Amino acid sequence: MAYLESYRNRSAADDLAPPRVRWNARALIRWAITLTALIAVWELVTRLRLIHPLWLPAPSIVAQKFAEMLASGVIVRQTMSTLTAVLLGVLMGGLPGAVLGLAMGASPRLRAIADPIVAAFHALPKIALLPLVIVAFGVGETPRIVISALGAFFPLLINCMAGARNIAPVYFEVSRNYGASRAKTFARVILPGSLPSLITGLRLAANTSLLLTIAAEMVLPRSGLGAVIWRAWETMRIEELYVGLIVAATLGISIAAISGVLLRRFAPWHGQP
Amino acid sequence: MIALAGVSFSVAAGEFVCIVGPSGCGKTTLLKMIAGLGQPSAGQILIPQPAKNTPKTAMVFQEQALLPWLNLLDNAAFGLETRGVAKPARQTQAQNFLNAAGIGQFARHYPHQLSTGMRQRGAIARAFLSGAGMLLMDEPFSALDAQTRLLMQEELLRIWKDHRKTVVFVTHDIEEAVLLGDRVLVMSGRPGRIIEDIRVPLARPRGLQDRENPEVRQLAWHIWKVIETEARRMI
Repeated sequence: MAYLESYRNRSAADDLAPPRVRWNARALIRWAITLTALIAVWELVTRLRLIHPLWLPAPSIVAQKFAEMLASGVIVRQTMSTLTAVLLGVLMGGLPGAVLGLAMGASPRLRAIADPIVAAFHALPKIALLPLVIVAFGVGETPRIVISALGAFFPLLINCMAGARNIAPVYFEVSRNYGASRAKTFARVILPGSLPSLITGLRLAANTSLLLTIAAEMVLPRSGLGAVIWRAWETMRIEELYVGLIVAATLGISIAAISGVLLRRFAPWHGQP
Repeated sequence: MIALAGVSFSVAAGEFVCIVGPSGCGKTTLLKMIAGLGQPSAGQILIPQPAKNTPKTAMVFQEQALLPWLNLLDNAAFGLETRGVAKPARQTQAQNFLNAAGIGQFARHYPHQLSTGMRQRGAIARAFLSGAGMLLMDEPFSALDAQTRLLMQEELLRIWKDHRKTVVFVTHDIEEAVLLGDRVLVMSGRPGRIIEDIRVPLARPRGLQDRENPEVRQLAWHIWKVIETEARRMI
């Protein structure tokens, strides 16, 4: 039984994987290369006049415009305006969406009642509700935030519901067998078990909110990135339109990056065997 | 379809009872009903409650059943938490138990950072700490490699000697049943019945060396002959 002895005495640390995820420098470099190549091709295409500058101004011209708008403070002001509407919307629409979604995921009865209603309203193009929202709330700041909240509500609801339903039944059995109360089951099984889906839902919610907010800003009085883009189109200053698009894309990348950080920070077990 | 029929047995306080039978005979179904995770269509299960607020039973599941989002310490203390034991008290108690089980230094690690053996030790700690009078174990070592399995059997015997809880232990490993149990209940194929109730005439404390004991071998062979017929019927 000598082999058993050596097995018994092995260090338990032998079984351990490194517990932390490290920042991936190689992925970052790959990203930079792709981006540089993309911009180089863009510049080349415009310089060679392969595409009319009315459709696609050179990146150098867009960059110059960007610097101007940054210096005048207009781009920061309008981006903050849009971001505020998105954040308020995600907070006001996403929170009830998440709570309802978790409840629906955990309770088949509630799901049976609410799921058809959710499915029906989710299918509506939210931007088409803007006239109704304007009628209800006037043309101030409110309609933009309401539309943004509508955009955040459904992705969080649906993701949280799926997250709660996908929790392995054995964790509910543990909770029941060990005599956990309803509140304890929610805090220790349903909420943490749905957290990865909730964070993904948050990312989708923020994206949808951003989309709808920018769309609403094109119609509503002049504020936000949507207004920048629309005004650029109306005055044929296409490079300004591209500045607006680039900022919107950057916001999208930031949302994805933040959700990645949240996942690693708050759900380190996610995706592990 | 009936999973179990004619299952009747009693377990004395502090007794270690093993249940063996061919796969698919309803061992897990029986254990889950004892755990309150399913209702029998007929008959009843009576389990005393040691004290108010404590669960009647605490189960060690076959699969990985530590909560992935809690570290080892909080997992081990889960049964104390559901009973309302304050955080510092339950963490001290759990830390002491984990120290005794030799995995104290991994208290802050999450299940995905632990080996399967360590996870199952954590699950056993959770059951013992819960305060339940009766512990239910559903093939708790079946996912482990052969060596770890032997060591875990020894470890379980050691912990049990210190705490003397009532244990109902389901396994398909006959030698494991004989080595661990005061009694071995042998079940038939579907619908599961108890066809033999055997007292293991082996002194305690027991250890891995008892696997070589001729009495154990003989008993294990006897049980195998009983099961063999049933297992053939089930294939």
